[in-house]
Amino acid sequence: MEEFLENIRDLLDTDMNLTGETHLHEIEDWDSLATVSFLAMVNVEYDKVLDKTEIKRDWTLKELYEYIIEK
Amino acid sequence: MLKLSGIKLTGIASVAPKQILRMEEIAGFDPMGIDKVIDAMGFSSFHIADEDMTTSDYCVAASQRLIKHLCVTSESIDAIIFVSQTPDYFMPSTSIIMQSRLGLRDDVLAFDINQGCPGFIYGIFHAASLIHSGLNRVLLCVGDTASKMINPLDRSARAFFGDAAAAIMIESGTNDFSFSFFADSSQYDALMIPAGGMRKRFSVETMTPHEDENGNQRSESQIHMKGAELTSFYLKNVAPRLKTFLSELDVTVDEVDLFAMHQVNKIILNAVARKLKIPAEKIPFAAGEFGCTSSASLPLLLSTNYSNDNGEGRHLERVILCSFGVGLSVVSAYVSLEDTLIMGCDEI
Repeated sequence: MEEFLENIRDLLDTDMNLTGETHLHEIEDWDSLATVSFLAMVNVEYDKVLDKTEIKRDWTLKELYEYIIEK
Repeated sequence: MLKLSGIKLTGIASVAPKQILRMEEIAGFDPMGIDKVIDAMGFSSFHIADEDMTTSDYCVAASQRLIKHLCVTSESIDAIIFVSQTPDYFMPSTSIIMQSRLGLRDDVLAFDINQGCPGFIYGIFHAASLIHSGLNRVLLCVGDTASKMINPLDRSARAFFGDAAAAIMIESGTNDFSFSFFADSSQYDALMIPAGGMRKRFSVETMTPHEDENGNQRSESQIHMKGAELTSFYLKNVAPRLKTFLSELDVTVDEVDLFAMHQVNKIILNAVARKLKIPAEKIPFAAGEFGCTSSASLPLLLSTNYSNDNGEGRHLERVILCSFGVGLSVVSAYVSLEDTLIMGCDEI
């Protein structure tokens, strides 16, 4: 889980405090570029492909991480 | 996998418009966020066609340069194929108009193919098929001037597409070319111009721009691009299709000299490189100054990074070409460019 949060910090190039309870769409600077970068990160690091509908849900980062691992 | 024998790709010449649009000149971008976009996507500027220049004008210039440097005559060309989604007119075919402009014979075979990003490989396949059918020399012209179909206030498309064109000569020879095609039309609306064809005719309504949830403006007569959907499609299909193609070819990543990939953006190319463990030097991203140039993307990559018209050349015997986009589709080819004249990019 910590690695997942670190990967998101890396792609946003930020030191912001992210936890499992942070909501994806409440992250500052989360925009269309972040979405594309996030999709690529999930594909490379977790060998999964998410679609736009999945990304648009109101996930906490913990929920999203568990969803990706289970997918 | 499809295989065509007795082919040679003898020359490539690319052309880009002189006029340049820099990322920071695009309306609506947060100045603080531009560097982030450039770093992630890889594009910093775009070549934009003059108002009075069409794709075919750039293709004619590239063709004349190629014909001259290959030391062949226009009369020796048996067919001309124009691959584009920005033709001069709905009718007649642009290739027919180019036939006389280039001084080709009046019995030449001339036709257009409506294709975008994968168009270079589609074009090579059709040219190679004609060679396979008995023709000796085919001129393939590819490219788009997408800028004419983009709303200047649509950042998503304006900060992505650039204009360019290329001419490619394909002749009878001794090489075998292999091809792999894949399309998923269930997502065709992820990259399209909704109005202007017969399904939805031009009207005042379709010419009127509307603002989307991200503040971008476009009409139904202009390019609509769904970036997240396209990204998911590419991540889901490009690397697996390439892996299957390499397996069918019985060729390893190590044995390939170059993976010439559609220059869609750095994010996708890096993901494909990591998935297939392709060393960075074999899978270049070199479209920073040009943007995504549709069917001219691959010839432009070759012209800007692998030109050999100054006497220096790179070993390009085993080259994978891979392009993806409108359709949505993923197409690949395995070709030799070992004896191909690759001319640098000319700006006109």
